[in-house]
Amino acid sequence: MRFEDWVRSRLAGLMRFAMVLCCDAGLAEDVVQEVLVKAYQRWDTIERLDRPEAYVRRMIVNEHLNWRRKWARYLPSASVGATEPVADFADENAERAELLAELAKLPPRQRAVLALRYYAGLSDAEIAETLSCRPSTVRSQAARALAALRIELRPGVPVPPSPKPGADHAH
Amino acid sequence: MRTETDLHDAYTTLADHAPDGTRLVIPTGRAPATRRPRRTRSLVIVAAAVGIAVPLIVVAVTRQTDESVAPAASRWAPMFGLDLPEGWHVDSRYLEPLRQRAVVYGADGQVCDVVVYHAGVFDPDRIPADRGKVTINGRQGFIVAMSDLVPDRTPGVVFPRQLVWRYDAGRWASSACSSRAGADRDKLLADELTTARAVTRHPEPLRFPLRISGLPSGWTVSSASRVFGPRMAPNPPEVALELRPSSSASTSPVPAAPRPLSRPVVTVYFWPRAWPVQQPRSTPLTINGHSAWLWHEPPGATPQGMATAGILFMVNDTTIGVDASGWLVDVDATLRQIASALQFASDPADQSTWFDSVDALP
Repeated sequence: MRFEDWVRSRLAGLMRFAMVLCCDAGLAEDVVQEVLVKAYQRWDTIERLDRPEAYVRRMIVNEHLNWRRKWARYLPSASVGATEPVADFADENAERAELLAELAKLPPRQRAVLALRYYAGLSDAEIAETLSCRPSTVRSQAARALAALRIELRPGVPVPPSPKPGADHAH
Repeated sequence: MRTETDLHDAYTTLADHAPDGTRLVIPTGRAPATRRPRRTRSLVIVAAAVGIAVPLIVVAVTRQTDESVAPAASRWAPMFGLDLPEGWHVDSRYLEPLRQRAVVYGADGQVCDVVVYHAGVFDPDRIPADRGKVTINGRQGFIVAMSDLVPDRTPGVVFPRQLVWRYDAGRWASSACSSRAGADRDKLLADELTTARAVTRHPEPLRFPLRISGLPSGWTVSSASRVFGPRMAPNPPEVALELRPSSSASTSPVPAAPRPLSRPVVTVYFWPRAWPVQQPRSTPLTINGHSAWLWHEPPGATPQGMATAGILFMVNDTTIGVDASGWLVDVDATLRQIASALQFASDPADQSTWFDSVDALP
């Protein structure tokens, strides 16, 4: 499959995932744009993988986590890592809008763990592989993030259905 | 206490607000080119109009500092479009090695300058941390006071604040509106917001009536511009291409500089009507099959310009013979070489025969 054809069929899902990860529409565009350029250069390899979308999603995560270091000299420090969601959530209920605002303030790595677990539906082992860390690190990062968001883990209550493995184009 | 379901619902909401991706560039074809070596930057000159065709090359004397440029492979491809409100219009567009500009006239006579800088050119560290924030087309912007972003420095013109915003990865843009003294500051800021929000990522091609190929060694295009709107002058040029020599230009050493040194600037103007060549003071020539004249003012002095019959005209200043590094420019030979490097559209009066900027500019 040609790269551009693959991208056109997956772009909406990639943008949704990037938006969840970055909590910022402009940043999500930038990150996906960077990843598309890199993926294009390695398309011969990526195309042969079992799940190219999983690989590209991992590239998005890494690009996001590296973004601050990479673009710091181009951006005002006030806007790096402390951006608020650009999207207008005025139509959402106040409680959800507040949660979204708090999500945006989480450290990028904690945000990535939550996005991979609760949006992309990855297991802790898969998240650990994506982030190149140990599963125990994933669990501790998730616990800290959930505590910061005051989210109660209730054993026995099923986690909402995960969109895995096609999280990129779910919804 | 919130639940994991709340978190999942929040993610769904967030994802539903994702951009649609239509503004992204999807790489196609061969792999992207690597960056070219850095080159020299310059200033802008321009003017314009409509009608028949006549380019003019003017040589002006301007102090120039060497500044590094980070051109992309498509440096001359327009980077932005403008979707202006009713009553507003684009007066002129400029392509430069470091940035691209548009001058916009508002419905109330205000003049606004929109600039998109090539990646790495605008330093956002200049933006004070406490600046007011705005959102421009989904991107974060800042209200600043940076006088160098202002287009019109005429005395009596006020420009209290400007806008800068992140245009895309690594690139920034600015909007600055000016008006005569007494203008409402909030109105100016509102105009700047209007202008900034009119900037789109869907540029239209910018076309030129001639193609430049084979400039004298070391000479480069430092600015290319088109004027669309009516101007005060009765017969302004429609296109201006500004050329400058780099330090490697083919020149000759000067043992003792006769005056403060500066570098020459040659501007190719394209006029809608034939330039009134002063035949008695001109030396007849043939350039690329066109009749041409070297124009001397006063007679016998260093040529001030060159013209072809209804097509090309160059003007020079006798003080341009020495550049900043103390090298003498052979004005006569330089003008002839530049003229020879210009390939005209088959019918300069017919804009459909003009060249796209990427093809027209080296």
